[in-house]
This record gives sequence, structure tokens and C-alpha cells, in this order.
Amino acid sequence: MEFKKERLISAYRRIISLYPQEFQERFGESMEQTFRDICNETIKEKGVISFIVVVSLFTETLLSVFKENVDEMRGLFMENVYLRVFFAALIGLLGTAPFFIMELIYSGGFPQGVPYAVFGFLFICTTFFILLVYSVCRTPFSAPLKNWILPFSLKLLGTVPLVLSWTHMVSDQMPCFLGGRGC
Amino acid sequence: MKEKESRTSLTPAVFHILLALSGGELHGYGIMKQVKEDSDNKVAMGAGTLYGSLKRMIDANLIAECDKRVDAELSDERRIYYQITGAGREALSEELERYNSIVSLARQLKLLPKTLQYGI
Repeated sequence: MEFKKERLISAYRRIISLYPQEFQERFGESMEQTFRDICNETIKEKGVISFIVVVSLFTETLLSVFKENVDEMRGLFMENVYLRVFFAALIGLLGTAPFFIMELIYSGGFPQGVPYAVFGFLFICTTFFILLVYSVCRTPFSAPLKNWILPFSLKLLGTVPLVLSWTHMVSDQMPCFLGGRGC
Repeated sequence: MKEKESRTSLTPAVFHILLALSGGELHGYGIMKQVKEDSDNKVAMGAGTLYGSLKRMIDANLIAECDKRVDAELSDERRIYYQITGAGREALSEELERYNSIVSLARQLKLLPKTLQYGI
């Protein structure tokens, strides 16, 4: 299978547009030039640009697009405290919502019989757990907010009861979640 | 006395780019070709890996962008050239020292092939 150079360059330009904005502005033009140079040399050496060459060039760049976007998101996440809390709260909500919904269904009616406090506790536990796990996993190099970080042993001390209570909640609610009756 | 703080080892891509730039200023495609040549065609770097590494290296002050100019061999387009910085040279020489000490150890343990054992 042969490919026309201009078509390939246009497709490659579209891949470049998937990079984060800042990366595109800094290196987009140079990347396109480099791709054009590779195409020219391949044509000069082999006469055509083969399918394998195209796949390998595009796959490599797509992987790099993915990596740069992940890096960008990670950078935002590291720098922004609000975003970090929001993300933890979102996971807390996603971790709690299914159990809450199942409880609503099986408790036989809203609003009686729904232990709001339990679900509130479950939500807060999950949110704090994610925040703690995040700060435990942080590398020492990314510490613009170093003052927020507790000693490692304290973090572990905080994480263990949270994990235990969350596990207890989940095991308690799981039969309902799986459709069990009379729970 | 505090020992000199050692840098973490460089990734293969960063190492090869620094090695390529140690010979002089090059543009992106020039770096790719130089890396290929330096490694006897064993290392082929794609544009994604190259420019991702260049970004990180500029941010870490290992290399710097030079002015844009034309490479007459390729086309009349103006290209950004890159050059190695002092910190980049230091990082490269530390990495080479590390390789050298590993090779010395391997030589002591007689792990090297015979052709390399006596520096032939």
C-alpha cells in the first residue's frame, strides 16, 4: 500500500492538534517539518512510503500525544488544590452513590429508612481516603505544597481506619447492591 | 563533609539527544539522524519521543533553543536549532562516568566479551 505525502502530512497535522495547546505552539511546526523530512528521505531511499512506516510513525506520535496529555493533566492536578479536592470528592461520590441508590430502592420508600448519616460518613471517608492516598503516593520532587504533607506514619495511621471502615461499609451494603432481598 | 549530590540516571532518549548535541547545534531532524548514526542504526527515535524529550530537557535546562535558520541540505524552511547547555554537558559526563564504572566492574568480573576485555 502506498501513501501520498501531502495526505500523510495533513493527517499528521491532525494528530499534532491533539497535543496540549502549549506543546503544539512550541513544537507543532517543528514536528511537521521533521515528519516531512522523514517522508522525503523515505521516498528518496525506498521510492514509496510503505504501510509499516506510516503505522509506526503515527503510532509513536499517538503514544506521545497520550503521554503529553497525561503529563499536562498530572501537572494541573499537582498544582491545584481545589482540583485535587474536587477529584477526591468526585471519586467519593461515585463510590457512595451506587450503595445509596440501592438503599433507596430496597428500603421501601423515600425518605424513611435511609441512613443518611451512614452514607455521609461513607462519602467523607472515601474522599479523605483518596486525598491521603494521593499525598502518600506523591514523589518528593513535586512538593510545592509541602506544608500540607503529614509525616508518612501519620498518613498510614489515618489511612488504615478509613480503609477498614470503608471495607466494612461495602461488605455490609454489597448484598443489597447485588440485589439481595431483606437487607 | 557532604558528598556531591548525584543526579538520577538519564533516560536512553535524553542520553542519546545529549550525545548528539555534544557535537554541535542541530535541528530536530538533524538530532534524529545523528542519534541513528551514533548508535549504528540501533536507536531510531520517532518525532513524538524526540520532541517530548526536547520539551523536558529545555524545561530542565539541559539544552536550549537557538535561533531559527535554514538547513540548505534539506529545504529552504527555517528550523529551530538546539544546543547543549553547561548543565547538559555535566549531566552527560556524569552519565558517561556511571557507564564507565559499570564497564570497569564488568571487566573486573570478567563479564565482558574477550574483544572488549583488554580494550581491543
